[in-house]
Amino acid sequence: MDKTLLAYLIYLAISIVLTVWVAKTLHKNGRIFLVDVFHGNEPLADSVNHLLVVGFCLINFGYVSLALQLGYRIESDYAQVVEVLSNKVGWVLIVLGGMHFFNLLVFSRIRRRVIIPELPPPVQPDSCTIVHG
Amino acid sequence: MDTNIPLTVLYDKRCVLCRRLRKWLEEQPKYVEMKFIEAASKEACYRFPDVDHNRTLTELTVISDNGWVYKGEKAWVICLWALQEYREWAVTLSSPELFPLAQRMIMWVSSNRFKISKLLG
Repeated sequence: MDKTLLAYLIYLAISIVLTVWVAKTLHKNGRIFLVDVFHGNEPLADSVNHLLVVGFCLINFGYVSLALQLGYRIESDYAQVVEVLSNKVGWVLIVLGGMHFFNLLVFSRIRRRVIIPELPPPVQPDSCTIVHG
Repeated sequence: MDTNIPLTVLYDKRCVLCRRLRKWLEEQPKYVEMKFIEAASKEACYRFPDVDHNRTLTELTVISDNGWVYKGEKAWVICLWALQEYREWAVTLSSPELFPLAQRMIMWVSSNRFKISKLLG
């Protein structure tokens, strides 16, 4: 098989598996978090969770697709295939990691927006008094 | 339990810093309605007859409409807690690790408020 095509196919396989794995992790663990944040409102939590995962997958697959092209043909040995793959997959991992942290940030923002307005007074009153009108 | 009960801030009108803080507090988006009454004024004495009004001239006092009285550093924290942008800060400042530091800072500002007011013009 043409070595360049082989590199492309392995790159796509690794990238797709990695993206799906991270998306599944995000979906599974994000749901528990969102159900808690939305006070047990499961349909809303599922909806937000699903939308986040769709966005995550679209951006990652978009990046994988854009970064596929090598720009030259691999003519030498298989070592170069491995080198090319490690470089390409390395970037995919970094983008996935960045997106994953971005999602965590989104989760924490959602949590803050929902939780903070409900925080009770953090200090106890010194005393109680009569209030007129 | 509804904790978002309107608050009344008794502030010292004689001090520039207090007036500026009042203005700043008025401009902030809030979770809790806040009213401002001059400390030891007729209105303050009428609304809160049991409060030691001379003391409200020396330390910031905040009273909720259901009668809870917060004094000094607690009053400062409760003012921050009422604001949308600073509620999280208020909770952080009240943690056992930070509250003593916040207390010292607030006491310093309170005891030097007329000096600070002079600097502010």
